[in-house]
Amino acid sequence: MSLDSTARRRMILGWFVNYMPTAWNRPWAGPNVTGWTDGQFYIDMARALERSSIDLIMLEDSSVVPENFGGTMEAEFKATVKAPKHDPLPLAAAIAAATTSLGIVTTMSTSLYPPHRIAQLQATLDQLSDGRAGWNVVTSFEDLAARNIGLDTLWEHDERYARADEYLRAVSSLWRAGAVPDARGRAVFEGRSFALDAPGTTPLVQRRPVLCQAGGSSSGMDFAAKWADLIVSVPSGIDAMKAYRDGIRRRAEAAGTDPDATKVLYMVTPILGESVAEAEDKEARMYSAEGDNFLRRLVQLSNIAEIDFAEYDLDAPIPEDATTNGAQSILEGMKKMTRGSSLREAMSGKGESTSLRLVGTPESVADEMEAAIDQVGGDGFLLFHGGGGLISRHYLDDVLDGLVPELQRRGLAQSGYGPGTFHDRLTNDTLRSTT
Amino acid sequence: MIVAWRLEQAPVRAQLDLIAALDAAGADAALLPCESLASPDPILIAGAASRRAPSIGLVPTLMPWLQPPFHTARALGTLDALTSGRAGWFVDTAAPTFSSTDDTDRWNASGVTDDLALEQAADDYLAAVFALWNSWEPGALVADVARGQYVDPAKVHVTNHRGDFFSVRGPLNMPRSPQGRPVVFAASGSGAAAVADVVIAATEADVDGAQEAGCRVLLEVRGEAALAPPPTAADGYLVTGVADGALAGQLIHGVLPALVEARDPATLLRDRLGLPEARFAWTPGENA
Repeated sequence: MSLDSTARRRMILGWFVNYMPTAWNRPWAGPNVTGWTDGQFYIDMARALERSSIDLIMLEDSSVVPENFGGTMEAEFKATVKAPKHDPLPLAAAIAAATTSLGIVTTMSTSLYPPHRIAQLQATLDQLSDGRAGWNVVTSFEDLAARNIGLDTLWEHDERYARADEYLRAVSSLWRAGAVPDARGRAVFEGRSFALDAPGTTPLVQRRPVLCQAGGSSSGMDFAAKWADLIVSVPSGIDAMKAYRDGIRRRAEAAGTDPDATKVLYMVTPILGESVAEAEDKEARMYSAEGDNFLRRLVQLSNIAEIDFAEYDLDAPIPEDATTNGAQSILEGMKKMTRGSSLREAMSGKGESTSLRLVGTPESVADEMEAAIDQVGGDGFLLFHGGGGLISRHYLDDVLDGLVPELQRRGLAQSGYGPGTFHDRLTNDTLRSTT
Repeated sequence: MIVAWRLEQAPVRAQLDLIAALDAAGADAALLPCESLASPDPILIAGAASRRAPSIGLVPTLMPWLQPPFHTARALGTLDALTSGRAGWFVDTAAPTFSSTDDTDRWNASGVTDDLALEQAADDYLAAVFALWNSWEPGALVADVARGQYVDPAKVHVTNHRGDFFSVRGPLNMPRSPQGRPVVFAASGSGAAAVADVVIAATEADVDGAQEAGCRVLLEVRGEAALAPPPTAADGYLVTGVADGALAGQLIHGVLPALVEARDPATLLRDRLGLPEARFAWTPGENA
């Protein structure tokens, strides 16, 4: 493979994963379904990603045992969508020690952590990884999480982003104060919501960690275009993917920043087989209303929307007069989807958290990814097979030994790492090849 | 004798190398410093050391003022899982040297400056962390594939800690850690010594008093004094104040081999130190 694909940029590939139970009640669960707690599965996974020249691993985080479905923890502990879960930060440090080139992105919430603490943790990770740290900036939405840190509720959506903007300025002031060799100063920050008077952090290798964000709303996209090096999104279908990326690039241009400096990744869950029919069989089983994954998906929807879907008859439409304190838009969407059918039917047959339905052989799925990126304009994909209870070495092999080599053969994905820091590599559009 | 070593504040690579050398020399625990917010985080250093140093106890120093108790309980619980039961916590209750507040006033005992209130805030913080560590009973993680039940919800309890300084609903979102909870270290005479598993005595005179608390006591031996540790009634030594590489090498290769005891390398830190099992303590109704 040569470096002749200057006509188009390379496809960035990342993997989004949770420090949670691996597959435990499905095939290929492996010999020890509680072994995930010591982190070795995920350290081994990071090494496997690095062998495949994947750009980055992104570790998700949340801090609650949800009670949205049925009002108790019971369903969550069958479905393992969000809990149990360990703190991704110590695992990220272990991954940093076990790898040399993989970008390591950790999710940390501006609503839950104090700014001085995120500044210190990210600076330390950047040192431990020799310039490979990234921070996935989230604002959190669960009231249960608020109650774990002495608040009753979290702020409304737009206010969370307004606070997050000031928060990033506060954190940046701590990194800047730590960057001056031999004369590390104090940072004094006085904002609308935050006030700091603290020593600068231990110096980073990168100017700052790679900043990542997943902003779907207008205020979220404004925030992402302003701050993010990397954006994660799940618009459904090629048109929506293109509209989203164009929207981000427009915002960057309007703000006078280089739109090529912000990379947009789309979440996908490829389902692969030796034939298209085999992959379609797998997909049908995975999203079947009869399968063990069905409760899991209902619980997941309840968690995302903060709506108790246990209150509704699975075999009827959602009542037109149903109301919620959770996500109105999701409830109204579900009313529309179930009109004339049922909740069970609406939730059957297809997956969520995926921008494209990618079901087939490595070759056919690579065709679809290639066509999508060509039409959208960039920049790559974030692979995801979770939250908890789904990931297995078997699935990793499907993607890393089946799909990724096919993308590499076509000159779409890198098969070696470029020089420099995580940020250097991310903004380097040249295809690296070891062959 | 128990042999523990408190690292001096140093760049992360130097700390990782020293932890590996102490592990190879058979030391029981490495106490990892965190002088200020300008220091690299010791929990992450412990995480990075977890594979290269596979036997030694890893004991980050954390002040209660650093972050809400939920984050501390969770991070140290995870470290215990990640190290298969070798995590500890040196509770540093010195007054904070920074201020960081927001309009909700929830992160630290901000505004609290007098010593008594700081001590009360530290007690409250420890109570919250301990309550969170007891939010999951032993055996809650059942992984019953046939019944489709991964966790037994009857064994996971909402914490509802409401103190004068810190409020936490809970539960933790993680299972009880391999040691039940990390091993808690504190300096003799500090407020945290009352709940500590291991107390550090600065002088032999402090050893007696500390031993009454029914925990393990380590006598601090500082710098070159560690070359010839004095006889002591304590359970072991904590080597401190060794910033010099040559002295560190002399101690690790010349002094430690005579002090350390052969131990099963796969053992829990708690067992290694001869501590009793961490009790599960949660009374239904009491916290509700």
